[in-house]
Amino acid sequence: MLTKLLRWLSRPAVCRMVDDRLEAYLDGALSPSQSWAITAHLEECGRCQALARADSARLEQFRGLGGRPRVLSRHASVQIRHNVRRRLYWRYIMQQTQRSVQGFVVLGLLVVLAAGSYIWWQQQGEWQGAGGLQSASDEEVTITMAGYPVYQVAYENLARQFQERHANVTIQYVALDEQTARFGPADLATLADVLLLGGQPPPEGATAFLDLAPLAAADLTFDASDFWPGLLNACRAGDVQVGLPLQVSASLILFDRAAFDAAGLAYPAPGWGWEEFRQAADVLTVREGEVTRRYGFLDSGHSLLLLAPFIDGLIGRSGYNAEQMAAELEWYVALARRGVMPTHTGDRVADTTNRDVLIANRQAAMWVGSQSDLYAWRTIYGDGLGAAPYPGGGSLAGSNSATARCAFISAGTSHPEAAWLWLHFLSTRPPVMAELSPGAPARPSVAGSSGYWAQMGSATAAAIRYALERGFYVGPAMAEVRSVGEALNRALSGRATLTEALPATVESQPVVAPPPPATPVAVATPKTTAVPDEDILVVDYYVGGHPDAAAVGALARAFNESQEHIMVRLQTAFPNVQGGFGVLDMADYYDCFIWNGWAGAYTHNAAFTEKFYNLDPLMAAETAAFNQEFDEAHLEQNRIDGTLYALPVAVQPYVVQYNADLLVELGLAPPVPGWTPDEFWALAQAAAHINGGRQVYGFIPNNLRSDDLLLFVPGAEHFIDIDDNPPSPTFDDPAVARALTWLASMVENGALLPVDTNRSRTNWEYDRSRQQEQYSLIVQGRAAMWVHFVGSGAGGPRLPFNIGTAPFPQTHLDQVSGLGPVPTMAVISRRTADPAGCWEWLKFLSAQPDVFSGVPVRRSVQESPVWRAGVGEEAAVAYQIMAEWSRHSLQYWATHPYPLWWADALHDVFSGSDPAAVLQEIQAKAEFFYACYVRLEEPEFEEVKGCLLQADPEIQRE
Amino acid sequence: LINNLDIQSILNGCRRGDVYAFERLFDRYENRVYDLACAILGNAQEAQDATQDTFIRVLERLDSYQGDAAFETWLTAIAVNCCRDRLRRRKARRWLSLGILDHGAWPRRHGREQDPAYLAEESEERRALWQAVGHLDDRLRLSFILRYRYEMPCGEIAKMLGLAVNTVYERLSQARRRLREVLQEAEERDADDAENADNENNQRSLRHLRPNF
Repeated sequence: MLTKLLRWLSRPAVCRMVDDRLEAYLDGALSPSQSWAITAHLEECGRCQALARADSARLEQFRGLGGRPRVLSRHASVQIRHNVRRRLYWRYIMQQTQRSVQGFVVLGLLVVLAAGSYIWWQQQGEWQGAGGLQSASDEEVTITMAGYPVYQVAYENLARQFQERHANVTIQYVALDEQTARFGPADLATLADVLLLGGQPPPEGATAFLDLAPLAAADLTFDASDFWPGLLNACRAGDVQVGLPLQVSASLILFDRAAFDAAGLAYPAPGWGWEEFRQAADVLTVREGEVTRRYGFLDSGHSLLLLAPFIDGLIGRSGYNAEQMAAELEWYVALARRGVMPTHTGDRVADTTNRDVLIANRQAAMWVGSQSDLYAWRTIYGDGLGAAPYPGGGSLAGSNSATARCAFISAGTSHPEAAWLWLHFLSTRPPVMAELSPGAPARPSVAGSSGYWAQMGSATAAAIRYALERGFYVGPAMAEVRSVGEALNRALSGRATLTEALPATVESQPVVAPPPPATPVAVATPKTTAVPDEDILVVDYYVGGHPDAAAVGALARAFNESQEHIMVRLQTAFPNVQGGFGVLDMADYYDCFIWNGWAGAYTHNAAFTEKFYNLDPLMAAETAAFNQEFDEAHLEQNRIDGTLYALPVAVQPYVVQYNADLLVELGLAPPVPGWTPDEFWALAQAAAHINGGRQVYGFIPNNLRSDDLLLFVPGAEHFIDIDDNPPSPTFDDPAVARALTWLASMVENGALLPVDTNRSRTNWEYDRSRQQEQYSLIVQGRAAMWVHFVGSGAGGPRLPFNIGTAPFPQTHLDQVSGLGPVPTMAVISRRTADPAGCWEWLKFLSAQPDVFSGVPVRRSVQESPVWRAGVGEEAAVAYQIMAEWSRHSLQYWATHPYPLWWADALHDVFSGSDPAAVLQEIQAKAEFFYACYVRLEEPEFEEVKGCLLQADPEIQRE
Repeated sequence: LINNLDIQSILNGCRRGDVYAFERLFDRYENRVYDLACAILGNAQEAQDATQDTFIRVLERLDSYQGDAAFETWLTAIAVNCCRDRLRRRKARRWLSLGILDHGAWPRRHGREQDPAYLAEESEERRALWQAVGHLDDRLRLSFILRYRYEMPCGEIAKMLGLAVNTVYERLSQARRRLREVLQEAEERDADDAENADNENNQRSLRHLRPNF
């Protein structure tokens, strides 16, 4: 610095003057004499001239060269507009009022208008709805509400909307823990003013919860007619209206469209009758000798959902008569007798499991299911799953079972009016986090205005709407219905005829004694500790990345108790934003969170390092033992230019799973770690056979990323050179052609299920229904081995046989493809003022054996008996081996399209084309793409796609 | 003229509290304000906050805008002042916090060998230029960005920043000299690096270019 200063000072004063005024000179902003002096000096001083020329050339380069203008993300834009509107609204109203006040009446009118237009302003473009607009009083009130932790953020967001209208009412959420979640109504009612629980109230609710009828009657804005028919009654305990419904789920007849197509039957539709149902069940039943290949119908197990409205109606009309009941229900028992429906074992759990296995195996044409089941079975059936209301609805009210989710006010509340306002407000909003518990809004008007019906196909929407218009929740003769149900279940298990099973008389519900004088236990006062102290670091942690938020909730409580200055608050939802969210957006909302991915993937995205903390100083402050807990490869993945930006916590690897029962049956030894591709195919070929006319395959690969098949081929080479950056295509390598030929021969002998993509693609990915078909093959026992993703445990019904786990066979190939383990990283957003709290929490979490999807990366956790026992020793070994593979996926180029072409090659060769010719064509496409790609300055998705479409116009057919 | 009439009707709508006018105002100017804020603040999150501050201030003061200057100029002046407030606050915050974790806040340059997308010579140069601007101190950077990125006349910049025109010229020439030094240093270092192609050295030299605010 000093030498520079000296150099500068050593220049003559006139040179310094010229340098000082260059801008003004170039702008013509100097006086004529000053300007002339500079021109003259520049002509004679070569040094100044050169400098000025270089500088002005440089300045020219700057002009207008701002690069691409920065554009606000849609989310940020919405957020800013929202905040600005909120900040300015009252100021705007006050101005208007001051200007226009001409008399008291005008002012009053304006205030009313203001309230209305404020709501309109706030809600513009968002969902609009009614709400209890009356104000309880001006007194400041805090209402507590108890519910499951997972809903906390969603309800807190709603509470903010509520508080914009009722500024004097503060809502505080009390998350239930494992213990309190099991409380009965009386104990629950001591926890909070408002109770948000699933389900309908039990009879004891009549004394534990407040009777809402007087509050509803006093509220002129409350529209009791805007609920689905009968739904309000579902929230009664005895004669007392103790709850308001927030959500409702219809029971439906779900059906396999393919079964109807095969039988040439029209799909069931709203308005169908019992006779149609009975005939369809008969026609849809498929038998081969003694074996039933498909049942026409599966009933609801032991819950009697389908017949409850019918039985209740029958008793209601003419009283209970055993003879008449037997005559009316005999046809149903006959379904089981003639094999249209499976007989019951009598064991509730076994019957439910059998039912699920039959459905998973596509061995059922119709069955009874809830709206949740509708979503669950879609994972196997896809769009092939249909839904219809119960048969025999017609003009009958209360003919279709449904269940309500009610919310209650504690009988011990000190603020019944404020609690009612909140409850009423909730009933006018769409249910929170409907993805967790699918169901319709309790009010038809809300379903209409919130776009609820638009989320599903029109046939499904029509079925649900029809069912809810005829909802049956609880009938007058429920006690009798239960007795009939027990008799029916005995008859369905074949242990007695229906006539024998039905009792001569049934007890009607005992008259409920009038509730004792209400001396409810007062609701606990709101905890003041929820408002964080000055010296407590509040950590807002997004818990959505974990498979089980409740488990993390329990850990967070333990952690908070052990920490004096850190308080972790679990958050579960993005506020007011739908779709298109990435890790960078998350950084604006949460202090820290886990995310599938690795920091190194964002090396070319400067925003990542702007939004997240560098963790090196935190790592450096830890003990050597802690540092050694992590595989260096896992840390390296999360470095950007040598700096650690995320803590690796888990990886979700792919492994080989095998049907252990099948291998035993065939007398084959299970695979062992370290096996070679040759051993792998030897086993696949030995296991492949024909059973009952159907092929049992040796191996089913993962269809979505078929490039991984190469990893299994002896002596294969990659079709890309991954040492090049970006990877360059080598489809013309003879080893690639040899691999294709090898795979074709394996298809021929049944060792390999052909990966038939039909070249159909959506968003660069393959049709997911193929994956469902493959899953279905596995469930049916028609595969010896397959690729399994070690993700979150939930993945459809359990397999009906024993499975084993093995690592992939050892290959000399680097792992570069889509089946590389998916790492989970933990990051700390720069949004947080002090990252130390986050760091302590993340360290604590990373030491847990069972909070992440997949395999925890810390060595001590992997070696812990808890984790090993949890997954089983064989799987633990395989998981560890496959988790290590992450070291090879660093260079993987997420956007390159080579796997697409490889899949095309497989398809063509499996259909009989010549490998060499196919690969030559692909090599030409790939080279064209590569040449286009490297010319891109900052590759954006659309630009890369443009290159791809030029290289391969066929892709446009998506 | 049509544009001008158009903005007048949007502004009148905003004065009345018309929510559609308000949306149109945002549609038209939010990215302009955001881009400016990004250039001045060098941080997307802060730029979003500054964009929000700007629109609040614009709408609060709408009555004082009489159409004597072009609306864009008036808006830009407010945006610049919101950003300056943030720069001042940022400075105060830095004094208060140790900021041990605040490394790498500035967008990095990537090694060429890692990223073929940046191979194009011209674009590399452009990036280097603007990166160097990021290293100027706030005072100098503000004038420089307004003059060269947004090509505003110095008279207008002076008015906006409440400075004498001469002061603006002084700052521009100081900025130019500082850039000259920074870019020369970087070039020298790049030349050194090319010789011993050692990645770690490269890191160190780039670290040297960290912003000094």
